[in-house]
Amino acid sequence: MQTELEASFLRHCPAPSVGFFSLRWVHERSERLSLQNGVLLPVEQGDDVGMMVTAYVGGAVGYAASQTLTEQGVVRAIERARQWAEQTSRLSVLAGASLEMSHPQGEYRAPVRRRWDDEPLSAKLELLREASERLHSHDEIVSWDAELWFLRWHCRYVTNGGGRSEQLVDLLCPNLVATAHKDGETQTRSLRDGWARQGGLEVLDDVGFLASARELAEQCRELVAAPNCPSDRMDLVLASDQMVLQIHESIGHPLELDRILGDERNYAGGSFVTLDMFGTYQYGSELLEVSFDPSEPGELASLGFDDDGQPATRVRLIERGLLVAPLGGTVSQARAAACHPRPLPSNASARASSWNRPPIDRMANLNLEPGASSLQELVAGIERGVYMETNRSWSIDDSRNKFQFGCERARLIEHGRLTTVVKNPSYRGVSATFWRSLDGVGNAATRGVHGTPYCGKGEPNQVIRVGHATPACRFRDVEVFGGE
Amino acid sequence: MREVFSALSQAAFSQLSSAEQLSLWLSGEESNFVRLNRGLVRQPSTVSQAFLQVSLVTRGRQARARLPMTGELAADASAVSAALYRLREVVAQVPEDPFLLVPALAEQSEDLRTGELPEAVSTCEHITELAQGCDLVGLFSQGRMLRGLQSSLGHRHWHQSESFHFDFSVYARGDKAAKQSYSGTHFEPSELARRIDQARAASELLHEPEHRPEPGKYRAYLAPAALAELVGLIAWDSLSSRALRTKRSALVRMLDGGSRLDPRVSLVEHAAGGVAARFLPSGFSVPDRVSLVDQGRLVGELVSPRSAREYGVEVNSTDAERPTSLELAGGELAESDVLDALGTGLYVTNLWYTNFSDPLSCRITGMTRFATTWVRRGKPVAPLSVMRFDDSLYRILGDQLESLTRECEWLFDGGTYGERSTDSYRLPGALLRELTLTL
Repeated sequence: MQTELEASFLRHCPAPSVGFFSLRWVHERSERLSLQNGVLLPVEQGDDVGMMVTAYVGGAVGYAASQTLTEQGVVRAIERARQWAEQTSRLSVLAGASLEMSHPQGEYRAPVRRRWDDEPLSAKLELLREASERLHSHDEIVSWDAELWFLRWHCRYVTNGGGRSEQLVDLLCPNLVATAHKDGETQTRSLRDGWARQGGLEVLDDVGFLASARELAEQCRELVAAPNCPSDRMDLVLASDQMVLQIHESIGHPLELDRILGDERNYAGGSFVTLDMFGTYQYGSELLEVSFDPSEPGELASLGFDDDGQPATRVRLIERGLLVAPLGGTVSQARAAACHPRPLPSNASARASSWNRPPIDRMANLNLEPGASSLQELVAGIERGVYMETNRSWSIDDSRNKFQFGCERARLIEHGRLTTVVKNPSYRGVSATFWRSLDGVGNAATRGVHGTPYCGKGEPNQVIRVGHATPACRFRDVEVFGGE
Repeated sequence: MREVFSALSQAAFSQLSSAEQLSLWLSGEESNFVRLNRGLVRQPSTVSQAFLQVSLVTRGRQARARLPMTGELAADASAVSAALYRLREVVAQVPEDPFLLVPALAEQSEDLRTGELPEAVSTCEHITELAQGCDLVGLFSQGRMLRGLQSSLGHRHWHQSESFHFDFSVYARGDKAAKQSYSGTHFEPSELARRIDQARAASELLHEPEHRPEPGKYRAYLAPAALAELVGLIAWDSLSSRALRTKRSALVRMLDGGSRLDPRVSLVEHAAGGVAARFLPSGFSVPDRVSLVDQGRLVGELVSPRSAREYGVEVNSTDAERPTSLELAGGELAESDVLDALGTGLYVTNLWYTNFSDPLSCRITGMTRFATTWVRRGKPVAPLSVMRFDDSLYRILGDQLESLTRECEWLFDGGTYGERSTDSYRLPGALLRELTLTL
């Protein structure tokens, strides 16, 4: 099918002298196995295939997406995309941008050690059953879910200038959730979306799926009986599975160039970052090193090319705390260049959620580089503080500045040591100043490879997978609080 | 598409053994999307898509497959046959489902809502012309949406609607903007112009220096769109039967802790008043009305077929147990009296990024956004610096609720994740004695 589709596209797309035309074919296959309180939900298999034709003609762009993958379907999509570009050319916000689209060559395949399809359904269900039993280790556990969500993403991209790339990614999202309830108190512990990774069933061993089930159940029972997190200004250590969210919301989104250029202001919001800040703005302390890194094996959004065909390579965005580059694909870079005198470094950030949405600027993998401190050393440097794990609540303003995040579990830090477990831990701050209070970065032993399959943005809306690898970090003098 | 859907369903049913039941759910759309920024076109697109959910039940075991539907019968029938083959392999390996519930009645319905939709390109031209001189950003979407269900038990449902939705903001400066929307089935160019003018006028005040209140407690008016953010958060997972019974709902203290909202608060899932299809992929149809909160007390829940079987109650909702047409009853305050009644405080047009900060206490945090203003002695005087609130719904719609507006606004969900949403809310505005700002 892909070969015929590709041939049809190349046969019918206009010559490069007319404009730039590309075809992006995406086939996504999925399977979801879920046990809810020990009972298997209906097994869900998904098969989603379609194409999008992109046309850049006369300084404007048009897109047409369809599931009709016949020659006639391709012809219709080319025509429609071209019409959009031609008929809106005098109305386009792209006017004045000097666009040079990529014609990529190559392929990317995510490494897989234990293929999902090689394991029989019965074995996967048995694994879930065992995880479910471990979660339900006590009567106080009133809700317990164990789930495996497998996805295979296959994408081919062809241009009318000879470009052709292919990408194939398997990924697995393991989920374990336990909720305990006693005497009117409810608490939840989980290993969920943040642990999704590229790869096959080996991901389960890598994230400690089965091994963590009983511990999660014990921890949520412990939380039900725990005191509330104290409310005060104090030092804060964030585990890697909370750092994910901190990086995502208060570094990743503000650095997206399409937000900075205003595209997202009616929905996801703008950014406190402006074009003139790149190269001059001290985003955080000198310990802060952040990279766009699509090359980390197994991380959720590793890739070879973005959806505008730009080859993906590692780029440093923040160096010694200094903001040096945004997250922006080819089109945003060209638009920024038209209104900013100094060219900004480019990266392969233009991605679409599927065949039916156009690419917008996305994070892919956005990683915080490890430092030198062990977790013990991070904690030892604190007289009074809190160590928080696993995100459960997130909220930030539309410019990505004032945030408030909550975690599932925390431990007090007293005189340099981890002590009492506390429930309902939260903290709030302002991105523009928070990262400057970073004064300890964990070493590789504290590093976790995480991400989220559910990053929402764009009009029309798109939900996409992003990866974040990060060590634990220490922040000074943060507003911390608990529940009522 | 309807004929193809019917033909391929019949073709699939003819392949079943006597022990098998099969249903096909169709969800499709032909949509044009025009994304705008700075009053100009950023990304125009046409999307033609349709998906089938094929559900097989055999001797109490079930499995589902989702696949694309192209509208070409031979290709689609072949894909459904292949899916059926795979599903048979799955159901042979899974245990009997103790909470499987199949509808006893095989209902049939037809709901055709024809609209008058504008031509997409000329609408772009019209919008950019009207937006001249102002910084307009947003999304115009229009087109046909389809929902269908056929089952081997005899279900025959078809829902087809044509609609448009224009969700936009007019920016004054920085993060200060007036947000508006225009939705419906019959497009009127003059109404589009009126809404853009209205947003443009509302953005004028936003050029004034912003007011930055200290964290603390303030009188506040939540306009319907702001209240929708709070109600929407509750709707996500807190009215769910399963969430309530497994103690994960943020309203669990209303269920068994004696907590209640103000007696003037009544919340109803009013499917008959909404625009979503009334039939579900499971074959059940939703009732006209489900009372959820009555006079401040939790009196109902949203029940999926699984929960209905597990807990022995009636089905009234989707598998996700989320409302599609939620209504909060209006109160006594005339909308025209809101500013005078507020006196001095916050006029919150929109909230943003709400989430639970302490679920058990139903404490919600979020941000003010767009044209939220500071009102002094009944007069809007300055745009508000975006502020974080953190407060409990038991206070906001409980002891701090001063009044609800008499008028309710019908708010269409402009969501387009995967497909265009058909959800909506009808909500009043809420005047609060206090709202707690924290940052």
